[in-house]
Amino acid sequence: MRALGIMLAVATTALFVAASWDLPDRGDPHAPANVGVGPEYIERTEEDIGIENVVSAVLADYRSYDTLGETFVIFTAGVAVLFVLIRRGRDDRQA
Amino acid sequence: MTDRHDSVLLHFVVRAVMVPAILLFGLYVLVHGDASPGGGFQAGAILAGGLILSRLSLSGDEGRRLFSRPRLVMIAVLGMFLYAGTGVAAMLAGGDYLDYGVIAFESIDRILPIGLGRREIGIFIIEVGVTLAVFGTLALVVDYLTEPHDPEETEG
Repeated sequence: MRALGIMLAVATTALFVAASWDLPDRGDPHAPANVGVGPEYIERTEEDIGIENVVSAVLADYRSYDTLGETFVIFTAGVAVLFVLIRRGRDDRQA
Repeated sequence: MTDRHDSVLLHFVVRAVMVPAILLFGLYVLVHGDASPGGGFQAGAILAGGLILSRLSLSGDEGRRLFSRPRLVMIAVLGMFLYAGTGVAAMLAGGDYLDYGVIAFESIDRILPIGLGRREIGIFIIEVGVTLAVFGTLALVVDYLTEPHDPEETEG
């Protein structure tokens, strides 16, 4: 079982290392990540939104649905943790 | 559970130096989110860090009364409401959900002329919402983790 685990880990590492050779260079203008909507955001943030920070513009305006969801995730996770902790407090007192 | 110390030096360093500096830095990160790295999530985490530090090290419970559990819940819910409500306000103004460009924020600009565009004000409002939600949630979780018994419940 242990040998199988090690083999699996080595094989996965080898796969990722082999795949990493095909990654585009950092800052390559023709990389798939840089030919989609990215340049559009960079060019249009100034006139569309009127702020300098492109990251903030994407986060809070172009993709504000996403950020709303993230905030709800944090809030919901916090509320879920609270219910667990409140429950634990009650059990402590009864014991 | 938490160990509170009566050291004068600790009180001075935490209450007069560290907590104000952390809270001020949190506000800075929030306000400068549109021009530099930062924004709602980071600001909320930093502000909650300042509150947690003061609670962990100070014996006084002014902070506990000012930010009691019901108030922290209200702050977190208010943050979510501010964010989602801005989206609804955009819809009422005739645009899409969360499309701040259609909300007439000029009325705010007349009262407080800061020279911001509509979208800039919209982004700032939702960032404040995110900050409140993250601050309230983090502080609430740490509050319950450090003291599992509800003070109101145990006193009564």
